[in-house]
Amino acid sequence: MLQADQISKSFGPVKVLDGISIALEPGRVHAVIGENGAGKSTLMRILSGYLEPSGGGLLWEGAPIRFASAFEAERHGVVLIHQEILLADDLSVAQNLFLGREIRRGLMVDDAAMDRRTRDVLAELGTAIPADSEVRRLSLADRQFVQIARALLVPNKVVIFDEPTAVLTPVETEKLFVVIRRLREVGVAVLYVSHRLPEVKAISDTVTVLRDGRHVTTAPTSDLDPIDMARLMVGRDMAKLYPARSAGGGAVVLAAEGISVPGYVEDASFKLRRGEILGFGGLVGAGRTELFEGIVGLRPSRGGLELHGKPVHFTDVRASMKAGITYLSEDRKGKGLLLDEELRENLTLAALDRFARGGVMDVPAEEEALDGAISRFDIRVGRRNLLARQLSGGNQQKLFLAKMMLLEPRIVIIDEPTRGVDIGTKQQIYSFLANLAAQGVAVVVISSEMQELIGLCHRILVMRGGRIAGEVSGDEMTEDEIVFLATGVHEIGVETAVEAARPA
Amino acid sequence: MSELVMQLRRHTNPAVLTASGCIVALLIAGSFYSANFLSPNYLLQQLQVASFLGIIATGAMIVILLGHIDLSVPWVVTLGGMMATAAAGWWGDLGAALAIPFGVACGALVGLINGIGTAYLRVPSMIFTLGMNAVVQGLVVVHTGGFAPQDRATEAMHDLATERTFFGLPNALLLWAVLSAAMIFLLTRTTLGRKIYAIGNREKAAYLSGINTRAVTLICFVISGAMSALAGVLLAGYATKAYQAMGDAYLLPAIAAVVLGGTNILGGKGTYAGTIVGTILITLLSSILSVMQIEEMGRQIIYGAVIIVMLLTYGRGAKTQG
Repeated sequence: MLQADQISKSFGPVKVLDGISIALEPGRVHAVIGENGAGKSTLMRILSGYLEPSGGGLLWEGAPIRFASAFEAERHGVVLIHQEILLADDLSVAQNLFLGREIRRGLMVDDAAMDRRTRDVLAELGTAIPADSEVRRLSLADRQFVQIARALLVPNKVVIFDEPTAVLTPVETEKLFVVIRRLREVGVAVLYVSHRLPEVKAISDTVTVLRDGRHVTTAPTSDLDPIDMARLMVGRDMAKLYPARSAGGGAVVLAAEGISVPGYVEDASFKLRRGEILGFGGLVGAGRTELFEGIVGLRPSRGGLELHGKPVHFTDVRASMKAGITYLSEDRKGKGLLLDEELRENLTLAALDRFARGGVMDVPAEEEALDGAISRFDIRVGRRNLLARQLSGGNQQKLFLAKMMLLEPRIVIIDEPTRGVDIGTKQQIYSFLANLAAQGVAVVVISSEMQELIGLCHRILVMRGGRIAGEVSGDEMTEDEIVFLATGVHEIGVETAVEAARPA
Repeated sequence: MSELVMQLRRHTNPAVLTASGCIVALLIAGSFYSANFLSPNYLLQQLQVASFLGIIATGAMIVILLGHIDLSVPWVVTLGGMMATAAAGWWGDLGAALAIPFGVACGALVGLINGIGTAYLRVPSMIFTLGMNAVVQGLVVVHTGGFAPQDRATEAMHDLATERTFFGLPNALLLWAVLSAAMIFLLTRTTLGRKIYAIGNREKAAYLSGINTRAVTLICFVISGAMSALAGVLLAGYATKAYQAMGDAYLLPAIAAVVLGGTNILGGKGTYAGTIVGTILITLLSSILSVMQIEEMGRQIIYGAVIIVMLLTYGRGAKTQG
């Protein structure tokens, strides 16, 4: 159906794809896996007309073809289902589905027909989302289904899914798989991009592994186990990814008792100890981020908070910073760094007064601090006067860490510490956090990657629907146990839940 | 090689270069029209006139760097001039001595209210300052209508605006130079300057870095109000009297000067040198247009067009890159 033939793509001097060939066949699910930065998204965007390759070309049913735009790809029946939710919040589900391709009767928009059609499409997907509901009121998972429905509304021959299950619960993932299997049955070529290897094993027929923009292998899925896939993706053994755990468990430094963040979190209680890494797991939207935003004073919150045994209540993030609590947002580009300023300005921003005398900046001291940060955090830059925007995701995260560590915090709360960073940097960040704990700092890690929590943390608290659903530690720290707490459903239960949800 | 080009690009702002080039081109074009355009006396006189606009643009720039805008400029300029002259009328000799600081303080007070409205009440600055402009206009009209205040500029105001006390350089120009030096120091060397750029770049990131973003915003609006009022004081001195609507012609040129100098209208980027160059360019343009006997409305059209063209050229990049 659609083939990539020796495709290369460079952005400036950086080559992100190097001679990739893959072939999508009708009625087959082809999975593409690789680490962040391996070139998966670039490949997808080229296949769906969002980008043009710098070398090589596409073949459509054997003949060379050039997609000048995503619209042109769509006209051929190639649709990309984006990972980010790209819907208009204030419009209804039906209006979103038909946005830009409304059904008309004369000059008027035919709402009734669109509603009818929307209900049919959603029913086919096996969801019960009301067609007239505003998108704003839907859960993330429902929005994802609306987005899928919207994409499948156009006649399609090739459907590309970009990490579709990132925001889905196991039950919903199973529903999505039903949809994908149905597509396969009617002869659609499916490209499935994910880093969740068990899912890839479950849904795909063929797997292509990319690493650093190069093609590693393409093999039938039945020949590979998830562990093989991981090894091929990383190109080395995974065992050394996580550092040795320190003793952990000193005196309680932060005690939360019945914390509520209106609209997000109800009655959350926990204790954080000196020298431990405490993980917070759960699904997206479970209230993990909001709980800590409430604690550090970024959101209004109620409830009892004790810092080193003294009751405190922060209404301003500056107060909690002064008290030795540092919060690193998951949104490092939007809330962590100034993308259009240079490394030095970014590094010292949080501790500005330490680099100034009488309000006047001491630039040599800043330069010295930058030297220190570059070597301590292994920030890899060709030259120092780069803008933060020009750094890779991993280097940005290191710069962000370096910046916040200048505050010399006693408590570090870090949200999604390794999102969008390569595996090498992941390892460095893990060992840095472990060292921090070993030195007596209390660390909270909020993460959606269960493996990361299990590998790194002393204890894991799992949140569900704004409450703390439970705690796991020691041998109980398994993916099954976390998923159970996060969803309230055991893996074995998932199957039955799906059976029950299926129309008879 | 490409490294060198990158370096050059980073350190020389294309907008500043373009604006400087335009100044040279304008002078050359003007000299064909009349040789007087290159005489030192004409140039000094232009710089003197430019200093009024330059002082207003200083305030406008600092607010624009934050990602805000101050539209109360016209009537704060008028307020500064009016209050300074009125003070001399109300309090005799003492009033005459305090005329200049009093006028500036009135502008700072309006700036303070603008700052509170924008930073603490979270009203968009475009709306709040526009409203304040109308409020100040009303107050000034009441003031001049009801109390028949003195509108004649004091000796000191007149001297400051028109005399050449040192080295034959206009006092107004020297004042502008001092303020410019202070502003460059503020923006490039102080923590406050860092914080201003940080907020303009991304307010959320600045706030999460522990910066008191509200206080910084407030300070910037106070500076902007004070600068506008100071310019009003000078203008009253220059014209020997304060009169209604004397600031009306300055809002658009001030914003144009800032934008021409390469400051991003959405905040976070821009050098003060650019604002100086932009101010001189606008002043020269205006002078040459008036020599060519183009009416005020023609000039307004040109200012407006210049702002739009500059925004099309330089202003849109930052946000679209996402």
